[in-house]
Amino acid sequence: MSIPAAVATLRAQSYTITTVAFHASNLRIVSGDDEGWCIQWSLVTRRPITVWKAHGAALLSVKWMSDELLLTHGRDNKLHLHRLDDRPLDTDIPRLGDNPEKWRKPWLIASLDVNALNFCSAATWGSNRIAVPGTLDSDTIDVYDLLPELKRPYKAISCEGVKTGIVMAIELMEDRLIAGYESGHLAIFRLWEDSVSSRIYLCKAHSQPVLSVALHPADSTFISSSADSKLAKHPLYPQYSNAIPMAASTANDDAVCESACLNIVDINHTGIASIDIRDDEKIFAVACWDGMVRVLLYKSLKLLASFKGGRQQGITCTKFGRTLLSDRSEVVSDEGSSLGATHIGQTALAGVPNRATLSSTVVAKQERKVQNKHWLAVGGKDGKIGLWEIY
Amino acid sequence: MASCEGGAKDGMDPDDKARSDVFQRLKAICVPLSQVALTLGREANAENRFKVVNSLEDLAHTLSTIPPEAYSAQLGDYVFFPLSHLLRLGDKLDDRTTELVLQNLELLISNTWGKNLNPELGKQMCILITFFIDDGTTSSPSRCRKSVSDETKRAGARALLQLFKAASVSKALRDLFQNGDIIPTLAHTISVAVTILMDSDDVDCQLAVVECLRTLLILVIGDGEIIATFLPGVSSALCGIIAPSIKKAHFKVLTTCVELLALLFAHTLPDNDLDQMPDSDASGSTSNNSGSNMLAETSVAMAESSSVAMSRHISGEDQSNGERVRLKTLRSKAWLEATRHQVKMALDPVTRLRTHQRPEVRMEVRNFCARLLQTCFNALENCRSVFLITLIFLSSDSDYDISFESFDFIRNFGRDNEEVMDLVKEGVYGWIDGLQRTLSMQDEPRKTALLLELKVGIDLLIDWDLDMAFLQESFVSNFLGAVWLTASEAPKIVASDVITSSDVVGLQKGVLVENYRLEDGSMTFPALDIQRIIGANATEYLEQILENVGISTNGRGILNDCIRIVSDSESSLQNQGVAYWMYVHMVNGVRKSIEVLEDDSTRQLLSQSAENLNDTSVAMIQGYLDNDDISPEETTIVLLSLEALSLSAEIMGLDFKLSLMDVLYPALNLIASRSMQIRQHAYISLNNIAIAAGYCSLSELLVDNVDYVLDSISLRINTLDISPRTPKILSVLIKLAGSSSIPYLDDIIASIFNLLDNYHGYSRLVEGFFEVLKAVVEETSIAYLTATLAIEDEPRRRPPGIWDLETLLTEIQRKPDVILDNKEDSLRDEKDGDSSGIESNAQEVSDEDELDRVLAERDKHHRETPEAWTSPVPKPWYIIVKRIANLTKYYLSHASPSLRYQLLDLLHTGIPILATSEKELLPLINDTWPPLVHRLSDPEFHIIVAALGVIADYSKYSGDFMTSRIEQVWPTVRALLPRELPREREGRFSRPAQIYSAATACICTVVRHTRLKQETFTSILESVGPFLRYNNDLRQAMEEISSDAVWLYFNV
Repeated sequence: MSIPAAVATLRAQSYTITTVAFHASNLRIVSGDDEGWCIQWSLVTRRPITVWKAHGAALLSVKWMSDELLLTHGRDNKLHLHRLDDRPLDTDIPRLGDNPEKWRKPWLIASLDVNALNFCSAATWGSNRIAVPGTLDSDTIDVYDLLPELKRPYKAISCEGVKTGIVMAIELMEDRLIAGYESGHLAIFRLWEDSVSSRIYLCKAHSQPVLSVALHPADSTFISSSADSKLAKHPLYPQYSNAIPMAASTANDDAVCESACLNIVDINHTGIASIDIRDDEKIFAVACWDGMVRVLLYKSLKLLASFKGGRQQGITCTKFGRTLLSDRSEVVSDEGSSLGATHIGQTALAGVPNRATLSSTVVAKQERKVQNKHWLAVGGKDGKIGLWEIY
Repeated sequence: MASCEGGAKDGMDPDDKARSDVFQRLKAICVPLSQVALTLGREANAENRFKVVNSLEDLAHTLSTIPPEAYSAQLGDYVFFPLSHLLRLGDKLDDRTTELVLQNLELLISNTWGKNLNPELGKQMCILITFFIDDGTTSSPSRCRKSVSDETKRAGARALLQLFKAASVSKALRDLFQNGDIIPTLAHTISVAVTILMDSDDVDCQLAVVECLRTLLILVIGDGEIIATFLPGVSSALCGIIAPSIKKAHFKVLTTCVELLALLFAHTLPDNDLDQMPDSDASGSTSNNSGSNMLAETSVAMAESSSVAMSRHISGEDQSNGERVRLKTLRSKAWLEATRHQVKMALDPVTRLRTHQRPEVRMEVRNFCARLLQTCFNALENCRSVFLITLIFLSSDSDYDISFESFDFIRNFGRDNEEVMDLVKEGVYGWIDGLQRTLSMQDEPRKTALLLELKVGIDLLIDWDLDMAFLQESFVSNFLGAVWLTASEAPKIVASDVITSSDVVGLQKGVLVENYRLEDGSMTFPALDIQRIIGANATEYLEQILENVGISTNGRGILNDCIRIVSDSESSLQNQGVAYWMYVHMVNGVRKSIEVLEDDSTRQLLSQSAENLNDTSVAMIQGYLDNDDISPEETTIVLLSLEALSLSAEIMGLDFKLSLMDVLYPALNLIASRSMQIRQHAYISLNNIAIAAGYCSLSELLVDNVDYVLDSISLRINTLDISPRTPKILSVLIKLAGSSSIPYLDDIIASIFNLLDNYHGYSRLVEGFFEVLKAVVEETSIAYLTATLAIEDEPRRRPPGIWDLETLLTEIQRKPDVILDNKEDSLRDEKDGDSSGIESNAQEVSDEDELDRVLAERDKHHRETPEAWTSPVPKPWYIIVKRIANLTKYYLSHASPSLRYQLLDLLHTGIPILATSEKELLPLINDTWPPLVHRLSDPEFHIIVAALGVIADYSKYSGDFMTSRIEQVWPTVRALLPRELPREREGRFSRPAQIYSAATACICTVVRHTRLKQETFTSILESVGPFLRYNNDLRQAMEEISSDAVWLYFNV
């Protein structure tokens, strides 16, 4: 079992990191913390590009909806859609007691009041559709379309007749919604047109609340983790797709309609959070409550590596960077270079004539180096993001 | 007489008038002269001679002052008349007269006859002058010599020169001299002239002769065929002059001789005439034989005999008819072959002049080679390479004109000439091939010369844009074989392997390396030595060669070869070093070139190279961090890598900022090396990086990028990859960057705590880490200095003093405990309840948490709402400082005195910060008290002094909380006090003096801030009583508490 190389630590946030997200260019990363601060980092300079306070409470998730649009979901029951373009914003590191109003905020495109009682972060599909726990009932799920105007095509989807407890994790596809529940249940809902949805899969894979689910569309499967020590793999397209009428008709119990998951492994450490499947769809990483990051092979759920992810205290989340950039690296590098250049410039470049050609090639090269690295970011309770290079 | 008639006509116009005046003046001299001349023939007595001389002198003077417009041929004829009388006297004339006659003749020819000189007269004159200056050695050396002075010879040569000059512009005269009939005459003249040239010591005479020969041969005769007949004699004479001998020729003579020689060859052996040369001697074997015989003879014979042979040969020719035809065929292929050989031999003395000290001579050598290459490229094909190499040599002449002209010539000449290119290629190949031999030469000038030739050769190839693929392989391998890099001095080991902040300051000021700083703030590296090369020149040339090769079209290939060798783990360390050295210098060449010409492919090459330099250097340095035990080869590699980083930064400029995260820490680590050389290189490298990346100084660079360095350190420290250098670098950084670094430090500090647990036995590490921690505390205290001072200045509750005897008496009646502070009571209660936790070592680790908990509980107990953080120091920082301060208690009894002292100093610095929250301070004092008291019995007195200071600090910031502790410790302090005032002569820094002043200062602070029991106060007063007279501060402090007691002490 190999231990990946620690490349760097992004240190600045004074609060527990709760979520991180790589930008599609693999040049930037956004992190969110316990106090609602968001920091966009350049992986080239390893310094903040943008710092702002996005939410009044801890961030549940940050997600890139497109190259410029960032979705943030906070425990202040808000969902914000920001546009992060080249406009320079503040880069100072917030300290205890600083007034967040001093930091300029990026352009807020949309904002939505949602339910954030149950730590469950929003799921997204495409650049427009999101799924969040229901506003009225934390056991249910609402699906929204953000643009051009806010709509709620599916409302209060739930596992009727089953005691699931509150929703813990959601994943969204074009026609499917995957949900993990407090009870350890996993469910798939088929989203039909005309706001109709139906449950096509239900499985109680875990004895503890589900903490995370992750989709693997190419393999037609998804995996789930929970507060217990197990990882379970489930089919995305279960054969008994007609299970719903059965479930509906057999009103008495879950056991009748429950399906079995495909595979289940026990890693002997309780508390597996934050599953992230790398874009090559071969491996995935989990952040465990014992402070270890574990990297597993998706196909066999075999453990490849496990290492202490954080510096002090524990870890909260892991994310892989992009590894499949070759087709679009050219475009990305152009976009990124302007950004990188503006950033490193800030003080020193001012007043110096632009040495155009050489400069841009150097920056581009450096960026390509960064882009081609196989990053793994680990968010820690000590407010630091460890950057690792792996496989 | 025609001239008389001409002169008799009185001029009508001004010109005629002038002419007539001149005529009158000349007449006044000429008439008596001709009379004397006539008498002189009969009666050569002194008087007559004197008269003649006088007249001649007058004549010469008059002639030289005639205004040019008055010149006329008739005038010449007139003046010549008396002279002819004298000339007729021939040998009878004495030397001075001859000289004057010749002088006058010269003037006559140049000023009056000019090109109108009667050809017949000209011929006569040629014969006559030759006669006068011939001292006879030419025709028969054995014969009794006629003595001819140098002055006469000079005058004669000048006269001849004027004659030939006239001939060069007069067709009639020229025809005469080109006529075959006169050849014997000329041959004689030439041989006489050559003899004079060789024998004379008079520079002017020599110059006149050479000039004369030049005019005659080149301007008058001009025909290659005829010149060819004179060639052997003249050229061997010239070579005789040029060749170094005991008699050193004047540089002007040398210059003219070289020039004439070039002209001779150029005229006799021009490529243009090659076509007309018969294959073999078509006109008869005899002449051919005689020709080659002649040449063979001349080549063997010395100069004089050769000219005799020549004249004999010519007179031989004279006897047969149609010599012109025969002469035409002198230059056959066979002749050419033989002559070439001779010429080649003649070249040697000429090319030797390339190192002549006069630039004029060197320039002439350059002209010689250039002219002959241009004119006789094919005819003298055997000499081409000599010419080329001489020119290449001169291309690096110290004189700019010479070097430029030489280089420029070959460059332009060779551009379309494959043969030249091939020759240069061959040369370069040879030089490269012999590089190893060259570098191991003992002869330093020769070594430099060869290197310079190589450099010029390569420059030429580059200039011609030739494919140097033929070189590529041998270039690298020969360099690898020849160059042996060594560190420039025996590695000087610096006493300590670590930098201190004073080092950094020193470094910043450039104390170490000021000499290398350039105007723009960047610095140059002291050159690496190449073994067997003494002096910087050769190294510099090698570097220049590399720089130029870097720019060449084949540079890329060679660059690739080099970097491949560098990154090939199979190559030996030595080869890696040399290849990297080559690479660095070649890239540097490319970098320099881009300042001149900009093109995209070069830019690309540069940025690629910069990347290679970065990656390679970082990879190479990596193995030598924290390592002082490295071999010279490894040192070289490290030094080169540092140079490479600097170069890369210079190439990338501001963009280098992107590389700082990888580069800064390794370079900084090397600054702390034990090797002075590495240190210096690392410093220069970092300095140049700072300048290139747009910073004003190294410290600015570090401050601005402290996050990168700290992250590197953090990663290493986290994997327990540490050496004593790490903490030193850390503390220097913290001191440099100040409080701005503290936000990045929490995990490092946590790692340090962890390391201290694991490595407490390694005192150097422990000391190092405490130095880091102390730096953190210091920086925090500096950052919040004003805030902490404000707290300090807050008016404290003054202890109700013992104002008078009555109070004193009442106080004595009282129970001492009553005056104790509540806080002390409560803490004491806790102590009672949980005394084991404080005392037992086993539980010490949890003490802090335990106390925190206890205090927190107490807080909850007293107030329901959690107390807001009131200290101006942010809580996380405060906690860090507190944890650091708390840590001291485990190490205060450490074996290392310097560590113990450091810890006390740390407490001293930390207390003002910690005092901003009294609630947190008191438990700390409680915890650190026992080990602190132990330090009062430390064997090192300066530690006792420091401990007393900390006790005073405790008292100052916690007031009455200290009462019972002071009373406990008082007997110990009292024991420290001397019986009497320390004697002056022991000095302020003696042990008693130091302890005395520390103890009394401590007592001052304590009595002022902490209320004490009456007994204790009295005891103190009694102990310090003897010093009160001398120590104002102490007396004041005591009086503040009880002036009566003090008064009593003094008066009872």
